Amino acid sequence: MPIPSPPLQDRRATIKARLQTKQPHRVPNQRLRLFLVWLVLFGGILGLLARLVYLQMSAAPFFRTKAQQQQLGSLPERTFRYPIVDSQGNLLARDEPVFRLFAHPFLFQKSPEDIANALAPVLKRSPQSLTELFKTGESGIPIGYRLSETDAEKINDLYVDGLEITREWQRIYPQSELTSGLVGYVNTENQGQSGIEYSQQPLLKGSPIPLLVARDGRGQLLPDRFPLEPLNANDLTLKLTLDTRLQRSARQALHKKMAEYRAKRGTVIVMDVEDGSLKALASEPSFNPQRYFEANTELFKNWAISDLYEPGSTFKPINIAIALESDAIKADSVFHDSGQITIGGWPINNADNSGHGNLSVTGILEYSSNVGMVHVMQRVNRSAYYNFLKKIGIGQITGTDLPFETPGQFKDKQQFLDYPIEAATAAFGQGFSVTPLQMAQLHGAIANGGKLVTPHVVDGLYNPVGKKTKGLNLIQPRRIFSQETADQVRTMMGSVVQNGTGKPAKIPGYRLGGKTGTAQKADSGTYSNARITSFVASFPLESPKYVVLAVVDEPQGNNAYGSTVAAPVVKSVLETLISVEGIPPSHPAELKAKPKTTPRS
Amino acid sequence: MATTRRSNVIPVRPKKVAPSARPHPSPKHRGARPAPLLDRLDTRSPQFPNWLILLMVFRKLSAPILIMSVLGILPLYAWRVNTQQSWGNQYTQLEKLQRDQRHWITRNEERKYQISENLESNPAGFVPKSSQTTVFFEPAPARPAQPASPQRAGITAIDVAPIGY
Repeated sequence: MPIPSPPLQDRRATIKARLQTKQPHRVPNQRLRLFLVWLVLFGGILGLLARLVYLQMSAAPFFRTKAQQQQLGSLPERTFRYPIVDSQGNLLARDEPVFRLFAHPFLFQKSPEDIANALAPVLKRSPQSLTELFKTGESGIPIGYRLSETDAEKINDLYVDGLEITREWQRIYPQSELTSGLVGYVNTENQGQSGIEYSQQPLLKGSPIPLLVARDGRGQLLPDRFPLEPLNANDLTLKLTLDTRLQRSARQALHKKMAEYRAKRGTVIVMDVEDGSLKALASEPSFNPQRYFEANTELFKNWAISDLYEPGSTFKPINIAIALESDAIKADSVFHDSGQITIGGWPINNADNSGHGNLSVTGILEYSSNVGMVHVMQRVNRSAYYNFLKKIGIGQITGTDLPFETPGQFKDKQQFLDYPIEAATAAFGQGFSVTPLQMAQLHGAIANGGKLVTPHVVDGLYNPVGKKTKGLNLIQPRRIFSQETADQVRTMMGSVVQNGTGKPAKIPGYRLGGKTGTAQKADSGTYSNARITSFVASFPLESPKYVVLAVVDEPQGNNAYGSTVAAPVVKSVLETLISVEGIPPSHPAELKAKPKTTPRS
Repeated sequence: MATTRRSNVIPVRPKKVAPSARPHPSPKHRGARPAPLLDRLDTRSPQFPNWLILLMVFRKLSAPILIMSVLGILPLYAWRVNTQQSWGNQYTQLEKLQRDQRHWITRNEERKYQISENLESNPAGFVPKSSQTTVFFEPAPARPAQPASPQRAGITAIDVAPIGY
């Protein structure tokens, strides 16, 4: 290493001395500044923490609600009332969303003319009329009613401030008058007013749980928070036992005969005798449920359920069954029909005013002999007869699921016992009243072997996969006749159609049991010339599955009887029933013998 | 690594030098030259603890990791957003189809009713369903059971000796 020169040594020494003597430069108040900086930072952190706590604890509900309002939206209700379908799934009633449009001009961001021009094609109104409407107020001006979903969507897509769309429900009845007597209608507040819509309101009214789902800024749904289960899991359907094919056939046949005989009203009931389910219940005249406000209010009650009539001769088979069940007569007993009889000073005649001599019980039914029936029921103890009538439900309701059912009228027991004429008139189905539905129920008991079933039209609530989730709690079937008695009466009714007054209902190839009825109508305590004609059939005779009852009220003309007015209606319905249910003929040889019809040109 | 590499820089003055560690001048130059002021320092790198080394490694790697993560997650995020929007579009389409379905079912039922009402007044050659327009075929008589074919008399035994074993 080279030896430094003396000046250099001096310089080094100087530097060294300076370095050794120089004290570090002290910044005044350095600690204080550091502390202040720390204080500011720490204070900031504390402030942030405090703000965080405030946001997370105190203000959290407010902000959560606000965020949910922005990000979440509830899915619109899918229906207000459940739809109603028939047994084949044909739609009978359904809710459709409709929309009402309001304008709030004080919120308009564009000129009213521009908005009117945009709305006019959707609302199918002139822009001028809309502009005039906008001038009528500042807010809440109704400018559109019952808009469809498509129209509502078009209006939403306009993104116009100051318009408000509200959802409503409109009940659609595609079958119109065909099923209005059963299904009923709802008013503008969606409250059922008649039919199933009224009686099964709790069953029809769903209680949907509002589902909150995430939406993006454009309002489109996002999969976050979307329910995992299918949205339609709670979309239930009320299924009826009704078959609209049969209903249509019944209504058409009834229309035809009512027009031919200028009848006041009529009804046809087709009931499954095993469980009481109604396959058809047509009542005329009927109303359009979509335009119920134009209809006669009397039509809102189905007269087959709410109105009473004296059944007349169609009740004779029931009386025969009572007599047989009471061991008062035998199936082969014989009675003398002189054509007239006086009971308690009151004369009783046959409908044809002639006597038929000695008649078997079957003969009494074939000729529909009033005198013979009086003789038959005189064999039954009057008190027992009364009790039996009570037992089978005369004077009571059937317990059907349809609304406004009226209990039948029946004399009190003392009067029935004290006045022999009461029992005598009851023997041929007069002096008391039932509803057509109850008449079908009673004949159902003959057809099914003696069980009284509850007529009903509601099958139950079904889920989308076709599983029944809820049914009705109906009165359980109860036995009122023995199987033997029911079989005997059924055979007699078969003879009525083959040989007696029921011949007009004969269907080649098939056998059915039936009974005609033509009763005078009671008016202010006396019988008038007005008639009520009816025919009841159980089909097929060998093993009845259906009861068909037709009642036509006040047919005009001298030839208006149960056999001429009601029996052809039942026959027509049965022919449809055969086709719809695929019931093979029991006597196919009769079909082969039938002459061929000429081919249609 | 920079921290472990030995430094060749000689500081002007050691921060702290123990008197005993100060090198003495060699006898060769004793008396001829004054003792040097500058001493060689102990330049060995200090031994850092492992956690500190790891922390420093992480500091160097964190930036590239962050950039790569962001670049990797961005497509994922875009895919997620796009999937949600696509789902929303599909759901809107489904709702529209369901609405159309409901609409057509209702209109179909209304048309059926109108057609049947019109046919009642004007049959136009149509006939209602009835027993007369229904054909029932009698079931064919059950065919007699086929007698089982007589078993072939005596299955001849295969008279060939196995060759596989």
